[in-house]
Amino acid sequence: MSQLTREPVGRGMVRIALAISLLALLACAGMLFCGNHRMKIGFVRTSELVYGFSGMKEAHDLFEKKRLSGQALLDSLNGDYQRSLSGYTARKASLNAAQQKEGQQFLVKQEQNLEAQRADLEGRIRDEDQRMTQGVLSQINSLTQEYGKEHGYDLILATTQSGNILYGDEAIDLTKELLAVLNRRYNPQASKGDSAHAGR
Amino acid sequence: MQAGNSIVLIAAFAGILGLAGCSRSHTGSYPEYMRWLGDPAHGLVQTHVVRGLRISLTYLPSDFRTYQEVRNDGEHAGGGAENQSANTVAVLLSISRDTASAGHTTSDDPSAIMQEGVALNEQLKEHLELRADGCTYRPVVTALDNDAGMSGHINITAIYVDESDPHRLVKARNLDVAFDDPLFGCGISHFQFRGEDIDRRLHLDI
Repeated sequence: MSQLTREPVGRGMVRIALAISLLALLACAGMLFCGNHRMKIGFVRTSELVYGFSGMKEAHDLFEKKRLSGQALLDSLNGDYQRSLSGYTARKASLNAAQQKEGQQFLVKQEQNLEAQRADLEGRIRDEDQRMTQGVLSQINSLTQEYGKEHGYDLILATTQSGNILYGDEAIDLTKELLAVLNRRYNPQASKGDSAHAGR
Repeated sequence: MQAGNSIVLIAAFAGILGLAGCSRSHTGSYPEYMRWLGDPAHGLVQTHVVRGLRISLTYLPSDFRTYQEVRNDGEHAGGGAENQSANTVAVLLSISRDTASAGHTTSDDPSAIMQEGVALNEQLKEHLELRADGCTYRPVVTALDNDAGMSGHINITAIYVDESDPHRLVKARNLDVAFDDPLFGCGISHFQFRGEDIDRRLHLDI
């Protein structure tokens, strides 16, 4: 009976020893793997990436178009007001008190309308600027994430003027490569045209 | 004689291949047609993932639209529907949350995306521009699909027409649709369709 009980204990010890060896082996393999796995890191110069991105140029053009269209409306309203003002000034001497009051009320109303339109336009322009900038940054972020995953990057850093990357080796500077990929993906037809122009 | 037999065999094989090729460009099966149309490899559907949203644009061929119109209006619509579809270009804009993306979305509630669909549909004429052969077009009609329900998809069909010369737009070789997202902060996305992909499309027998 004692022999019967001793044997399983012996087998148990062997099993424990085997399990410990296996764990040790796995731990060594893990350490070896971690030791050999070098993080793939790159960095980009943010302002060059953002301002070189075709999406930024297109958004900027669209924004300018909208801003100029709003400005044209304001200029037209301002022109109306200035004409009313000079007309009133020229006629003022020939108007009686009631007519003068009526004319002044009209001018005040027109000026208030002009100011309201100006404030409205400024608000819309600000919102539009924010919306478009947000859109461009979202696109750059999403396209950079795709690029990073496809090329096996663990980390892509971004330098900014007030940022905390003081130095990066040129070898890991992805700005030009990433910018080319971003522009190709953003608008394949336009980037074909650009490369055709560049080739000429 | 053996060489002659080989030539006949090769010619017969080539003929069979040719016939097989011809038969594959037409189908009477709507599900098969939809599977073909939804396969990105055929170039008539493109997708961008931005800020955790999947934004897809599908080129809707005229036979698809004719089929839809005939199905909705009955067989009497027949020839009229065909002519109408043949002179216009239509696309389907589809927006949904990208489940694989950990990115930011405007809302975690799928029905919230649908609610914004109504607002998007109202603004889409200003935000879904079609550029073809140097001309720019805005949709003449946009229609929000109400069947999306709890799936959390926004599906909007946009139809373009060249009012001065209807054939010019239909014959345009390369189409570039720019979606300037007004609501979700996803920026401008381009969807480009090549003439050869449109020409090579599967036709639906109606």
